[in-house]
Amino acid sequence: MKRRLLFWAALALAVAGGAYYAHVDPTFVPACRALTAKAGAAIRRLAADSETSLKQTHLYTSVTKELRERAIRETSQAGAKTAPAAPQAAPPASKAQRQSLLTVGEQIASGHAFAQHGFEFGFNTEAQMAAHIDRVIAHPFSVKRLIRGRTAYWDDDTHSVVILDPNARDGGTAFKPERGRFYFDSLR
Amino acid sequence: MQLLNRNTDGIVLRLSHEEGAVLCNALNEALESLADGEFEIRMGASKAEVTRILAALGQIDIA
Repeated sequence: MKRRLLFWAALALAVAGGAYYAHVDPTFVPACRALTAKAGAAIRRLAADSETSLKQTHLYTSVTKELRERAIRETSQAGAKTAPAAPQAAPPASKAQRQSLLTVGEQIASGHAFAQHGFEFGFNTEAQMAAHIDRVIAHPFSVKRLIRGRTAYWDDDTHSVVILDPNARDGGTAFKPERGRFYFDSLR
Repeated sequence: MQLLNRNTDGIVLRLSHEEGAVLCNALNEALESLADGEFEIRMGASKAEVTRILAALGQIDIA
């Protein structure tokens, strides 16, 4: 009981002290805001890095693969149950169904992008490239709408570009342009 | 694309927004892909000249 009382007293004192200091020094509030924003950005970056690291582990790859295969099995079983009259008409799972279960990064990395550009990043596996693409799309430094429904993402950390193209079979590409940000800025 | 005028001073073209964007992308990809040693031979212009044209096109709000 005493500990709880002490805690609330300390909290009230801290709040009152902060309010008084903000009243005395007008730069205190903006400084606090800037500090909070910096801390928030650092936490977000840490979370993104952790997500990327997790996606690069064998455990994550095997678990997601298993879940994906299970989903494909369930989809095909559901298809077979709803159409009992024509069991041969429903294939186990079409390529389009499998593609729709992949993340955008996995779809792009499993296309031409890994073979053609994976070495630019130093990636050894498609999963590494897929995780990178998913991270850039989730936390882009800059985003740009391009002609024909394409979207370009710029990542300042790796100086790389991800281009999503809904018209392309593999969904887009990712690479490190030699001219860096100038290349991205000139994209239309 | 439509040719509006052609004389000794130059040519006047009308491009759609998408054609303008494709032109920008073509120059951008040429600057990105062609090796320094071959750029001028294959493009008929230096990298600096093409960069200048691309920058000028970039000033226009295409697409």
